[in-house]
Amino acid sequence: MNCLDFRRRVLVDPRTLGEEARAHAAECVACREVLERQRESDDRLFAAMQVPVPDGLADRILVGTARPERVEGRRKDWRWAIAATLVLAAGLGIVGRGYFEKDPLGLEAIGHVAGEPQSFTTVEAIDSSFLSAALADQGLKAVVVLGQVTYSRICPMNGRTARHIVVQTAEGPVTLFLMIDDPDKRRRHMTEEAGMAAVTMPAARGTVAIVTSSAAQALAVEQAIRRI
Amino acid sequence: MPGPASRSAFETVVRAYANDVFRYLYWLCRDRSLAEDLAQETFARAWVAWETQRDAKALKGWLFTIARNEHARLYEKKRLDVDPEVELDTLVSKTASDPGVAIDIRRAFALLPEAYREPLLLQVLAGLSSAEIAAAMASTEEAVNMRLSRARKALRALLDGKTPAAARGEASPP
Repeated sequence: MNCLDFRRRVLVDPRTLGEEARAHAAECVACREVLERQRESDDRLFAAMQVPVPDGLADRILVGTARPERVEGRRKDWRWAIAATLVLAAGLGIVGRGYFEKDPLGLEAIGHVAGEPQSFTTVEAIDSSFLSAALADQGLKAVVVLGQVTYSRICPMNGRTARHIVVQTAEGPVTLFLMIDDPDKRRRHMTEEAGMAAVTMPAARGTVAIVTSSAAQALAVEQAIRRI
Repeated sequence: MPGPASRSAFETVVRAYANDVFRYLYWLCRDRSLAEDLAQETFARAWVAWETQRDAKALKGWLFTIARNEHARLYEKKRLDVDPEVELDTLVSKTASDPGVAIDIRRAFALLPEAYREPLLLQVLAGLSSAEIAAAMASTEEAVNMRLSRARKALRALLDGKTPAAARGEASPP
C-alpha cells in the first residue's frame, strides 16, 4: 500500500484499518501522523455530537411500548366493568352535565404521571399493609385487594404535597395520589387527557386522585375504595 | 406479541441504544422534541417486529435503519425547516471537553450536505460499519465509502475556515 492509498483509506474510516494499512502506518511516520490527526478529529466530532438526552427517555419508551399490549388485554377484561359502571351511573342519575368535566387537579395528576415514567418501571419492596394504612389516614379503605404497591414517593401536587403511589393490579398499574392536606371541599370528577383517565374524589380527610390508562379502570378502582 | 423473555431483552436494548438513537435523530432533524417522538416511534416499531429480528449482531444496524425510515417518513409528509444555526449555540455537550470547539464542529457538521452528514453520523456516532451503513441507506458499500471520505474532507475544510461552497468543492473529485 502506498501513501495515497493509505490516506484514502483513513478518510473512509480511521478506526478500522486492514492489515496492509496497519503495516504501512508502522513504517511511514508521515502517514501515522495523518492517521492520528484524523482519529483526533473523529473523537472531537463524536464528543460534539453528544447532545444532552432528555431525562427518562428510555423509561418513557418502555412505558410507551408496554401500553398497547396492556390496553389490548384490559379492553377484554374490563368490558364488563364499563357496561356495569354505565348502568350503575344511569341508575343513580349521576350521568349529567359536569360529571365528566376536566378539572385542574385531574389534569395535574395526569401530567404528573406522564412526567414521572420511572414510577412504572421502579419496583420497590413495600409492605402489603402500607396501602391500607395510607388509605386509613384519609378515612378510606379498599374493599378488595388492589395489588402490590411498587412505588411510593412524596410529590408536589396542587401547591402542596401528595403521596404518589403505584399499585400493580391484575389489570395493569394504577396510580394513586393521596392528598391528606388538601383543604378544599371538592366534588368528584372524571378527567380524560393524553390517553389517561383520572378520578378525583373527596375523602374523609383531603382528596384522592386515581390515574389509570382507561376510564373503566379508574371507575372500577374508585368503586373499590370506600369510606371507613 | 412477544413474551416476558423477549420483553426483558428488548428493555436491555432500549437502555443500551435509546441515547444513540435519539442523538442520531436529533442530528437528522435538529429538533429535540421531534427527535424524542421519532425515537419513541422507532422503538415502538422495533417492539412490534421484535420476533422477526433473529440476528443479534445486526440489531444495532436494524434499529438505526428503522430510525432513519421514521425520519424519512416524516420528511415525506412535510419538508422540515432546518435552520443550521438553531440550537447549535445553546446545546453545550456535557461530555465535550472544550465546549467552544464542540460548537465549531457542530456548526461545520450542520453545514455538510445531508448526503455526507448521514453516513458520517452512522459511522462516528452509531459505530456502524460501511456495510451496515450501506444496508441502512439502501446504498452500496463503495458509495458509502466515497461519501465518508468526502464528508471528512469537507468537514476539515470547513473547520479550516473555508466557505461551505469551497468545502464542498474540495470534497468533490477532480
